[in-house]
Amino acid sequence: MNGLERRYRRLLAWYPRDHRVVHEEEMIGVLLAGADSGCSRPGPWESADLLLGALRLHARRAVRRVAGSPWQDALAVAGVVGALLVLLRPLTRLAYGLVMSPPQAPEVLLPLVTTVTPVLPAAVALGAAAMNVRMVAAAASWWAAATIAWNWATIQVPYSGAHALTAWPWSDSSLYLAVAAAVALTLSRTPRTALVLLGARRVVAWSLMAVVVLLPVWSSAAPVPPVVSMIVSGVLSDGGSLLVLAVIAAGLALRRPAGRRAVAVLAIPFVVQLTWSTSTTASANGWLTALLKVLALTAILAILGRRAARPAGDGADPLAREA
Amino acid sequence: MQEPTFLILTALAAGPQHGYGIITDVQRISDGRSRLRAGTLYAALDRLGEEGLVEADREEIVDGRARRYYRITGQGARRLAAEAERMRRHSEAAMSRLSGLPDLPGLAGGLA
Repeated sequence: MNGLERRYRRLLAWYPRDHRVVHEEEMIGVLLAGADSGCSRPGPWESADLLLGALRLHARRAVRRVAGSPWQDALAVAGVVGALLVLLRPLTRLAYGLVMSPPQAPEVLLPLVTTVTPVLPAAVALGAAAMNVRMVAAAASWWAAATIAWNWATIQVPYSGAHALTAWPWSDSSLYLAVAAAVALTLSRTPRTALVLLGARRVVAWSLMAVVVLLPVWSSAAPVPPVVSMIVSGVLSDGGSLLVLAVIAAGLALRRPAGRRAVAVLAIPFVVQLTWSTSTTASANGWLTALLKVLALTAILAILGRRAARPAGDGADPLAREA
Repeated sequence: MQEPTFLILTALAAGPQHGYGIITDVQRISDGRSRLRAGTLYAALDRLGEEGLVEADREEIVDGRARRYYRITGQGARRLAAEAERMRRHSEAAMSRLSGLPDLPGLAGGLA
């Protein structure tokens, strides 16, 4: 093996494994045949072209994997469950607010009403997902996310001014959830699959459970026994993200790969939020705990996703078959 | 359809060819103006294979190295024909309009 061939092989090492297995020797042959005699290293254009080719092959395989059926099921489940949480969270908050402190004045009522604005788009998204109208489901879920961002801006900015912008929008876990749901519904080609996979009874039972678990989120602002508030604030450090994640994980313990993959899809934004929220209040200790939390979350996700390995043949080289 | 794709399918329309054969043929078809590089060629072949426009034909060993031949599929030929027809219509339109222009330097003799 001469120096030129070794350098070509080093560039081809960037190609996807399945492509290399089938085409590496063949490509080396083509590259050596096209090289000028006496040339000892690939030219810059040729190197760039090879690397760009590798990038395109990797990108196409990634798209193919996401478009493949196991991830499609997961995207549908993540989108529907996410939209359901976006719908239930403000409703639970409104119910709690009305029961615990009946609004006496508009200034109490107004924040409660604005929290409810994502409910309509989230309901539209769920309805459209149920009818498999994916464009409407995706548009409505982005509308829900935009509503949450808008609510946050109108409520927070007047109080904290410029400081709010440094924290925005990373401090609101429901925004993360809404964006994750919107991305999932945008990428999902058959959102209705989620309802088929989950089943109507499971969706209702899980919704009730989510409401029960979400109620204490709002009680931390209300007069409750110190022990309860201590537990709640302990669980809810980081804006309830861990709690919501736990709800999702519990609700989706379906013993199905699609469910575990859906948990992974919905958890990505929470991992990002956890990292961000700690990095903005950076102290050496804070960084360490954040790192530990992220590692713990990653471990949970890894265990959940372990059995959701992709089936053999997925991402195989399309030209590997001999005619 | 992008130019490399068009040229690769055109090269294969003549019959099955191996990778280096496609590269030299593309150079011939384009009068040496288009130079197809290996990275572009194999990324395009991967995509064309996935779309069912091209398939592997046979493999032979030359100097101890595998050499795979590719051939155009029926679907690939239909797609190439449709693209060639589209380009023909466009170039005809361009030519007929250009012939209506007063003589421009550099165009003389270029229009039949």
